[in-house]
Amino acid sequence: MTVITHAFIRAAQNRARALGLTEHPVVVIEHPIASKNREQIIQLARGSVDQVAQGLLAAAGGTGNG
Amino acid sequence: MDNRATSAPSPRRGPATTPAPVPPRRASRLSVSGSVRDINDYYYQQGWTDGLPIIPPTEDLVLEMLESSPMKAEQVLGRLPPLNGTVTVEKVAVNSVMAGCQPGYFPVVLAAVKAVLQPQFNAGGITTTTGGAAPVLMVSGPIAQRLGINSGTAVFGSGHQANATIGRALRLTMRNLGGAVAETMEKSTHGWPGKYTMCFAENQPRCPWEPLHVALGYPAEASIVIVVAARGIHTLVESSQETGQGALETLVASMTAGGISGYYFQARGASPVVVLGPEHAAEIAASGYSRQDVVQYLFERVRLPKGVIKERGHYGARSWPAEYETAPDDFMVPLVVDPGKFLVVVAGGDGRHSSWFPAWSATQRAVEVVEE
Repeated sequence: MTVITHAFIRAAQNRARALGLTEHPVVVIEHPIASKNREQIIQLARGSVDQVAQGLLAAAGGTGNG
Repeated sequence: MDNRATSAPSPRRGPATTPAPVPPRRASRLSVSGSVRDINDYYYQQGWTDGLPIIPPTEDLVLEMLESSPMKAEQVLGRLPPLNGTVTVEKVAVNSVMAGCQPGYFPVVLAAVKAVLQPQFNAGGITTTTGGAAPVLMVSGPIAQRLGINSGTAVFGSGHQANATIGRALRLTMRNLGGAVAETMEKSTHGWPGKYTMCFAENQPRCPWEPLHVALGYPAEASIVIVVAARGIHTLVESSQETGQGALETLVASMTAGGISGYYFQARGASPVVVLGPEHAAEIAASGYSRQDVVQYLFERVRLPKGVIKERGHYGARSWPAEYETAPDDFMVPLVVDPGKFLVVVAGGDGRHSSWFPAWSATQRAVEVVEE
């Protein structure tokens, strides 16, 4: 399960492919994060937590390679 | 022209090419018909070059390169992040030919590639960061002079084949075997020309101290390659002060500016590289400083008040010792937590100028002995 910002979508896809993780679940969040404060990061995390949970469950269920 | 070129990556089908049988664990063979321009166009279209022309890596040229190293062609050196291509000696030779290396340079290129493969160097991070990191190769030892690696006038400039092509061979290897390609894996906001090549040697004849490799604990007769990841070059002039002490003070002033990432990212132990021009080095030595004294001087003074860097730069993503968190605003945050991380090198020609390479932070320097 990987969380990335949208600026890194292509790089993440290439990296996953190189590692043989073609179905690796990825959640894409808004770029950038380095300039956001703690509250904004928590808000982003809350906004994507369901997707992250789905990705983890998918991986645990064997639909992914991770 | 009909050349049998040896390609580093697996060749994709193209109108002017035909695949050829490949021995196990050897680089792919590729037949390309056409002029040198046609071959260069083909390599560029495949994404195998840095935009500059290459020398087609024909089998005879690759073999000539391989013959200058004791290592076997099929020997695997590792897998190069971020895309984890398998690095063999032969594939490095292919990229070295493409870069324009003389065969004699090949042992240095191999040492540099082995260095970037060391895990702490974090070759994958260097490629994918927005921070614009590029490898800086420094060569210290007898081989530098023997190969004509420039250490003098315009040391970071153009016009010296060894400097230009050894650094380029490393970068082409990182591109073709590691995937360091812009807009796919390479994510630098700016990058800098070190992404093409950056290789130099210490100016030993004008260094007032023991050779760099000896200072790092290697025998005098050894030759080493040191690789650091840097975000660019910062140059400075000090031609008004009359002593080495004055030069050091100006150097410190240039290293205590805003936006330097090293103040925030200290956990990995990156190495800023200070390159003293020979005139500054002589003045500093005449002021009573050894190389180690310079390192200690920098460690004690290249610092910024926490209150100044707080909420600026990369503060939100800081990675520094826990005690800094509770330190007061007048606490002086050092650029590096360990003085040994500073690398002080003497290089360049006449003139009262020096430079320093701000380190990209999520890395540690890597050293390899050149095997001949």
